[in-house]
Amino acid sequence: MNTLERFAGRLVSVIHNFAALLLALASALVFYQVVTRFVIGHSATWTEVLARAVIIWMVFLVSGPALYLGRMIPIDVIREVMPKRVQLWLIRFVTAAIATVLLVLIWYGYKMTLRVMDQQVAMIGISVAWFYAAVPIGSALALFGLFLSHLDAERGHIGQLDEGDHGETIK
Amino acid sequence: MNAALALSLILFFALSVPVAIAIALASIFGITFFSNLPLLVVPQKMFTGLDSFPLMAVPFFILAGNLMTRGGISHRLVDFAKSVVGGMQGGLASTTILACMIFAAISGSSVATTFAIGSILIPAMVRHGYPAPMAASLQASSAELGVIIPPSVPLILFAVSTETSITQLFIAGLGPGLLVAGALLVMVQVWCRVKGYGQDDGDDRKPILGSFLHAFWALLMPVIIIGGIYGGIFTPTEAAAVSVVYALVLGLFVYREMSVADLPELFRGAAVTSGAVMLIISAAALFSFLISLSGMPNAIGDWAKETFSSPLTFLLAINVLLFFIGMFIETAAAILVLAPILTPVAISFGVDPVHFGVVVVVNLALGMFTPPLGVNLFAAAQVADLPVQRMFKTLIIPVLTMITALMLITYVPQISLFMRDLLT
Repeated sequence: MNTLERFAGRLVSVIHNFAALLLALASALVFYQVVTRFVIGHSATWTEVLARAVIIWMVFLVSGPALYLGRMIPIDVIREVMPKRVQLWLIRFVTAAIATVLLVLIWYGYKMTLRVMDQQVAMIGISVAWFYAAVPIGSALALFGLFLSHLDAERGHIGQLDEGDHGETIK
Repeated sequence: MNAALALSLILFFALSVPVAIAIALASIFGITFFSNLPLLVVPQKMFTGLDSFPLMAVPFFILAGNLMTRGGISHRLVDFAKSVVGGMQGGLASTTILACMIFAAISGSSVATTFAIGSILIPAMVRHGYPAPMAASLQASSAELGVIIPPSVPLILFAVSTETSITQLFIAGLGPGLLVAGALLVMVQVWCRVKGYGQDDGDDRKPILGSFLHAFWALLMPVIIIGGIYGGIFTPTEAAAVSVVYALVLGLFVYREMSVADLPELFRGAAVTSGAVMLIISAAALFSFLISLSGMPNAIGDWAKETFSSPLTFLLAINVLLFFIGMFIETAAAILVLAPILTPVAISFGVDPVHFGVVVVVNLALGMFTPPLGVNLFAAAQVADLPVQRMFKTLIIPVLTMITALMLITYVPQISLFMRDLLT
């Protein structure tokens, strides 16, 4: 295991913890909104806006851990019945497809963030750019998750190819 | 543009590109080669697709489901259900259905229902002489109540992608949920009597009152959530956040079956599960923006008007289409891609969008336990420790039962709408 891999693993795990914290924070904000409505009589207005931003950050940040843990939900009926060598190329193709989408989100997400810099969010008076930045930043960090999951897949496959049971499908 | 979007999406699905990525990539492909839109709309639409307060109910309900499964709520519900229906022949099988029904009223997902109830009742049924494939098939089919009875993640997705009221859909899901539960109960009675299963299921049954009190705080939960939404006390999203806090309090302080040390893993799990669904929603928002630009719903609508003479044949065609799509495509993706296209067509045929949403979700819920691809199928097989293929034969009976119930729900709109019309 080289340094880059160790760093990526550490980073993905930290991001995962942070995303879990954001989910807890968003639940707490919305619960607080209900409580204020019953206790004070009217609900806090900023909680809804902030909770939406927190969830958006959670979703884009957790894409890296989701890629790494293989939780992105593929429809793999066809892949599973292919010979192993074809499966290996399919996995490489999928990695390239994911990387393409992430790169589009990083570059155009960055440009979008710059473009909305002057727009203010109602209620809490900060720039919308803080919300939009979740797209390029989350996608850039997701590259590390993609890197790790691809390494795992290549190793698993090369290991199995060496065992000599060509053509048999993996689980 | 339309053909390019549809074909590239199917191609990417077939090449096993993850659903969210496949939808985004097909959209990027369509924008680049078949439109003069800038790629800037990709992050923009994916962002605005998620920037919605109603949608936040999805991660919260997923989180609440995780907390409830771990926090000692599910086995109390099972004990209660068993004390009610466990005494008759096929009592454990009936308990599975009733427990799934109650759990469905506090959880929005059928997979969570399968794990929560199945991990207790599948082994119990096998111990009492039910064949394991039958126990697993029964669990996989009962768990679909999780998405029909409110709260329900697929109903939220339908509401958000078609701008229909979540509250109305939640009210409309209740009648069909009870119908499906009833149909499954009748099926189990006949099945067990014909095959002679479950003669002595009631052995270790507890008295009704005792198990009711034991499960009281868990049983209060659906009353708070559904009562709160129907009564207009809080929005579905707020109800979801309330159920997160309620599940935490029950698990940590009342039942004490969960400790603070368990929380990080439960939150991490819910973050990944809900994040994966939300990314599909995000990508689907981009996709349906392109679809609506290209006027596909109108084109399909015009075509449907010429082809189908009445709403009845149109709904039949929709059901057949969704049944086959549901066999292969993940439910969230199917709803998010198809609902915005099909709902305007349904409305032009005079079908109430709320009724249509229920039909779509009940149909796709059926797809959750029909081979070859069904999330409940895999979950139940995992719990029962069986290869999925061994369930295929016993699945025929619940699938036929569900198709019958689906036909009733499709052609008797009142089953879905009477409660709404009563309340509004």
